[in-house]
Formats: sequence, C-alpha cells, structure tokens
Amino acid sequence: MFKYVGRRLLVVAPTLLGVMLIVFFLTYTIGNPAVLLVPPEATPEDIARVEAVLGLDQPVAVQFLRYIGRIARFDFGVSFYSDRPALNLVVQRLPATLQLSLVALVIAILIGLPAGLFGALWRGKFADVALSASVLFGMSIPNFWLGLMLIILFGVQLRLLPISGSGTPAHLILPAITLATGMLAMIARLVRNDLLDVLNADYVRTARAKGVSNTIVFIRHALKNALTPVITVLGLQLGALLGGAIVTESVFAWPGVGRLILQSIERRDYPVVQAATFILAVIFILTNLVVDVVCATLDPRIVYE
Amino acid sequence: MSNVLAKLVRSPLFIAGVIFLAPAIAFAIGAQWIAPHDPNEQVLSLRLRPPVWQGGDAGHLLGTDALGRDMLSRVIYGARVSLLIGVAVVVISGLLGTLVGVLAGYFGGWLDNLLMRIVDTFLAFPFLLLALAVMAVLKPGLWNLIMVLALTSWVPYARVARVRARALKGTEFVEAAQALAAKPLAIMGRHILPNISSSLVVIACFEIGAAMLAESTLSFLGLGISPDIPTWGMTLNQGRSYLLFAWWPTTIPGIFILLTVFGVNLVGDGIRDATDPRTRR
Repeated sequence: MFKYVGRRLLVVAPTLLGVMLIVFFLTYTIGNPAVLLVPPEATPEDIARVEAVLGLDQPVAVQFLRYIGRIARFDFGVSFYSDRPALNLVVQRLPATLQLSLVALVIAILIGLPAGLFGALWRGKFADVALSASVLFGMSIPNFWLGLMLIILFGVQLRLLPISGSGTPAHLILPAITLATGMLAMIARLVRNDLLDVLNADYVRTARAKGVSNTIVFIRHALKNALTPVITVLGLQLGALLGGAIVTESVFAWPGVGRLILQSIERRDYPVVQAATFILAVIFILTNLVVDVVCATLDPRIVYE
Repeated sequence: MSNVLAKLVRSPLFIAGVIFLAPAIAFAIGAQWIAPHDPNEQVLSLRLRPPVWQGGDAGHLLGTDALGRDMLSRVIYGARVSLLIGVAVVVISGLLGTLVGVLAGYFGGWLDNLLMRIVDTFLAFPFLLLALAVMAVLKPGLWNLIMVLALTSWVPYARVARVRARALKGTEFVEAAQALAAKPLAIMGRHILPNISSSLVVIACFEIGAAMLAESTLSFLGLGISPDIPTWGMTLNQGRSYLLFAWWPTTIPGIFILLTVFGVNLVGDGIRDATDPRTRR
C-alpha cells in the first residue's frame, strides 16, 4: 500500500511541473500588464520602470525559473490590481467555490446514483429508455444557459429565489442546481453502464447459480464492484465541475475563485490568474490521488503498473 | 457494416437523434435560401420585437434582438458556424489524440511514459480554464477557437486508443504481422486502427456535442469568435443584458444548442449500442 502511494506521488511531481509551465506561458503571453498599470499619459520610460519593478524586463527563462522558485515558497506575487498577495485573494475566494461545488456534487450523487441503479435494474424496459434519454438530454444542456433560464423562471416570473450574489442558503439553490445537472447526468450514465458490465460478470452468475437472492447479489456483488470505476471517474470529473463553476459563478455573481479568474483575465492580473489556476490544478491532482488510493484500498486487484 | 446499419435503423434513440439533428443540418447547408433576412441586417425601428405568437410582427417569426436583427435568420446562419466548429474540432483533436494514443500503446516504454505524463497534465486542468486562458491570449477568430477547442479535447481519444492498442499488441494477428517483418507504422495503420475505430467514432460523436457546448460557453464569456459572425453562443450572449425583460434573444439560441447537441448525443449513443459487443444481446 505504501509503495503504491509513494509511486503515485512520484508521478504527481512532473504533472505539477507541466501545469506550472503551461500556466506560466499562458499568462506570460496574455499581454504586458505594465501598460495597464500606468496612467495614460505615462512615457515609455515610465513603462520600462514599472516593468523593471515587476521583473518583466528579464529573459523568459529567468522569469520562469524565478517563478518556480517563488511557487516553492508559496509566493505567487502581489496582485497588480489590489496590491494584496495573490494567494490570499484566491484562498479567500476558495470556500465559496468549494461550498458551491460540494453542494452540487451531493445533489448530483443523490439523484444520479439511484437513476443509474434503476436504469440498470430495468434494463431495456421503457423506464430505462426514458431515463437514458433524460440523461443524454441533461448532458446536452449548456450549463450557463440553464442558469439563465432558471433566473428567468424563478427570479423574474415566479420571484421565488434570489438570482445573484450570496449570503443565505437560498442564494445557493439556483447556482447549485445549474452546476449539478451535467454532473448528475454523467453519474447516472456511468452507474448504469458499470452495473450492466458487472451484472454480466462470471461471479455474479455464480452467485445467482448458488441461489443467492437477487437483492443480495445486487448489493453485495454488483453494486460494490461497480462503484470503484464510478469513484475514479468522479475524481476526473472534478475538473469539469471546477470548470463549470467558473461559468456558473459568472452567471449568478457567486463570489468564488471562478469569478476571480475571469475578472483577473480581463484585468491581465497575472499573479492572481497564476495562483488561482495553480491552486485549482493542485486541488484536482490531490483529489485524484486520494481517489486512487481509496480505490486501491477497496479493490485489492489494483496495483501500480 | 450492413449489420451495424440495420441495428441503427431499428434503434429508436438513433432515429430520434437524426430527427433532432435534421433542422440544424438543413440550416447549415441552405442558410442563404432558408433565412428570411440577412442575419446582420439591423432595423433599429424594430428592436427587441417579441416572437410572432407574443404579438410580434409576421416578418420576424422569432422576434428581433436588441439591434433589430431577425432572430430566426441569426439562428439559421448560426447553425452553419456551430456545426462547422463541432466537426472541425473533432477531426483535428481526433487525429491528434488517436496518434498519441496508438503510439503510446503500441511502443510502450519511455514514449508511453512521456506521452501519458502530458495527458495527465492536460487532465489536471479544468478544460474550460485552459480554453479561457488560451482564448484570452489569442485574438478572437474562428480558426483560433477551433484550435483551442481541439487542443483541449484530444485527451479522451488518446486514453482510449492507448488502452485498446496495448490490448491488441498481444493478439495473434499483430504478432503474425510482426513476425512477417511488417513495419510498425504499417501494423498500426492496417491492423490496429481498424480495430479501434468504432470506439473512437463513438467518442467523436459525443465530442462534437461537447465542442458545440464549449463554443457557446466561450462565446458567452465573451471569448469566442468575432461579434458579427452569428454563432448560437454569441447571439445568446448578446441577448443576456436584456434577459430580465426580453426572454427570446437568450432563450431561442439556447434551445437550438440544446436540441442539436441532444441529437448528436443520441446518435452517438445509438452507434455505441450498435457497435459495442457488450451491449449485443
């Protein structure tokens, strides 16, 4: 087990380096922030002075090495815009994004899991076909558009729920539903297909042949084995969830990291974009590490190749 | 092959998918004949006219947007761009991902390790974040958008192609080809690719839908292609400011996105059911 975790950790390092490289080059090429920071009447010398202060006059390679060195010390620099450490800004916004994503995830699991179960149980029957079609429909809804439609319906027509901002649990309802829909469909689909695979497996047939009751076969043999791939894919889907959060936060003015990233891209606030992207990528990588370890614990057949 | 076709024709989901897709394809092919107006023609005296069933005028069946442009014509021309983006993205990312996956799976070793670390890195990004960041760097434009979406969507092909190629490597017919001194490229092209193509086609179908959704999302965030090209996402985004008192400029393009992506997904599901041996009964 320790060996597995150790090896898995070793693979994380090059991935992180790759993430840093991509983030650095993307933000590096977004445009010169010095131009945005100076007043319009500034001379080229003024701009050059600002560039020197920010270290933007150095060669790219030097800037990248400095950047890695600083990240190793958790120093992402100071926001060009608000004069505060970029990391603080991101960390401050993180709870809102995590809260939204977790609520959405819980909704998606609570509805998606049973939907997938029943789809597999009723395989080929009308209910299964209807469920499968609804699932595909759910996967086809543009996330942000669903948000806008919910705003029209609940905020404008019915005037039942707040349509932007945060603060009360009611504020969470529309964004969470918006974010949960795609994920829900994905979970239902996965659970159904994995269960169908497992129900065809030899050990399930053996259990049935021994006269074990349907319910027990389903719970003890099928469900347990079908859930491992579901958990793995859920970990990978976290990336989609965090990406979806960017859009959802923008639709509902939810004060999370996603909205911060969008604002920072508009303001060319490199340090904040770098810090936020890096933190999201780290959360994602660590979650998948934990997911893999959990799966390896649940399923003794998993060994590191 | 005819076996697969026969199955498809009998699959209700597949047929439903084709029906949902038909309007978008017809719009895309015949936009200039079907559309009642020029999609960019502004009639400022007819701004934000509601659809005809809500008291709008008969000349604009689905109403007009904030600049007095005909919604129906914008939606019809939008189909062309949206479908083009979906198909182009899938062709480019499919070729790239398959190449990476087959190479990694067939050769294994350090090449496999290197390519899979690159795949891991791409997987570690929320895809939308990557697309956003790249679009913020590049100038808005059709081909830039297609390249960005392709760059962020080749990973699924690579993962599936790798696993399948690895499994096929140990089969007798591949070993026989190797024993006959066939070149690796020939083996990959002639023996491995044909055997993994059906899984890749299924991924491609779902990815067309995903690319169309991604295009509309980026356009919605203001990072799509130029504002005078009427994509569905762009038209939707331009109506957003009037959301609270005019529902149609936002709702109508969204419905077309939804139904078209739904159609593509249904078709993909149908093809998967027809080709995947596990679902044959």
